[in-house]
Amino acid sequence: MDDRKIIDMYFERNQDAVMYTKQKYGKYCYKIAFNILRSFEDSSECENDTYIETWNAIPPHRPNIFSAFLAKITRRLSINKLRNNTAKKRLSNDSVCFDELSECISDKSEVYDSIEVEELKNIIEKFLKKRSNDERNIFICRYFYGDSIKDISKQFKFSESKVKTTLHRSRKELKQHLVKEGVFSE
Amino acid sequence: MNKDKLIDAIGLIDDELIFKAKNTKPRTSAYKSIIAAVLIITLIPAALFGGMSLFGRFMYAGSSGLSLEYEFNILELSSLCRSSFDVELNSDVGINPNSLSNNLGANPIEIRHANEMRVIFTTQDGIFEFYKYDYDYIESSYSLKKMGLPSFNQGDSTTLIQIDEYGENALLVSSENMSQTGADISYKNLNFVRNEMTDIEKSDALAFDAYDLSENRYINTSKDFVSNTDWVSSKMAVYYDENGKKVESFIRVPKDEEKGYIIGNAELVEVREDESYKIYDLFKQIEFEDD
Repeated sequence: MDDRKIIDMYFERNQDAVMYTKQKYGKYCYKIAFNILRSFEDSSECENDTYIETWNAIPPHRPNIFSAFLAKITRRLSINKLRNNTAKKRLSNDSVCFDELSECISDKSEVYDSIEVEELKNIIEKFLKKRSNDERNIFICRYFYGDSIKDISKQFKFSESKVKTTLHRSRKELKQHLVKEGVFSE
Repeated sequence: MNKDKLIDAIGLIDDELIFKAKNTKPRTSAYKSIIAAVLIITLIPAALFGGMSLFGRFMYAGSSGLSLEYEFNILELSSLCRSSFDVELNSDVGINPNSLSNNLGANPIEIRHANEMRVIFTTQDGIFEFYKYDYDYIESSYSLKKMGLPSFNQGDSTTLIQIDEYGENALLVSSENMSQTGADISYKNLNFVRNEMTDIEKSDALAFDAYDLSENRYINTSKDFVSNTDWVSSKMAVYYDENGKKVESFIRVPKDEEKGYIIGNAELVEVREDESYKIYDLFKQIEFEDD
């Protein structure tokens, strides 16, 4: 079913909207959750929570790109769950790819902490828009969707080493960009 | 905490960037392009002199800008076709396998017709999909759960009328009139449909499919089915639609039954005086009085 029609159903408060969302994007949401959480049970829970949150958000919100809207919700819920689990010591450190992002940040946390997330988002977007299409898409697949190197190499038909190199370069350049934008000093 | 903030910020980036990351078609690698070029050079003369083989057609497609991935996926898809249908694949056809899996969620079991700008096929649950191809992507234009008359052919042209799942919009497509939404359907075109529908009753050359809403099943009404002796030949029936309007329609009647099926009736689309239109279920079981 067309996304527009599914969204219309949410606006009509037609509960079939959830069914159609699950039918079309269930696997997609689950994959995002699983990339982050690495747990079947937790991922299913996040997928289901995504439907609830979508139901509550639409209306009034009308997403422009429904798949991206769902992805954002799933990712946020999954990360929150991951943080909860980590706090409860229920999770091993190798559960996520996000550790790699440590390379992009400074030890001078007092400077970095002063920036708002929204402002940081704008800076990252500016950075991404300057990248080539491939670099940008690989970065997003890895650090937004949490895709594995193997999955990314399959999707883009690159070797795994090329994906790793591209990501390494992107992280390095992101750090330089953050310094340039005054997020922190080197 | 710093890293968390960075992770959160990445989670808020623009929807379009997020969408494109997962929906950008990978480029064909250089060595594949070279192989394609060699094959094209080899096969085009064979195609010119010996009539194009199916494989030759795929390779010919390569010369018009389609990537190898597309060509091979067309080949895979064509193997799913029923042999009774002559599926024409030419240089203008391409099918994006990702679009298929994303939008259908089911394997296509039949390609009805594929040429130029469109590919029409049937899924296992009877849903027709109509794709429009423009070299960069295939757009799923309509999801057709409530069936209209799917398609029929006249000579080299194809005309089809389809109704969307809400029964609100119709799509009329022909070689002369590639794509029009319901509001733009002219009376002339409806006449054309109507005449063709009548011809179905007489000609073995035409076949059509229908989706039986009452029994939730897909029916392929091939010419064999039409001439099936278990069915009394078509007769006119008069019934009243949900708005009380009198409708005269061709029906097919199973022997010894008091119910008939409206198949391809001439009143499929009613045009009102103000040129608005109303579409009825094509395949609908009705009570009738046998005369």
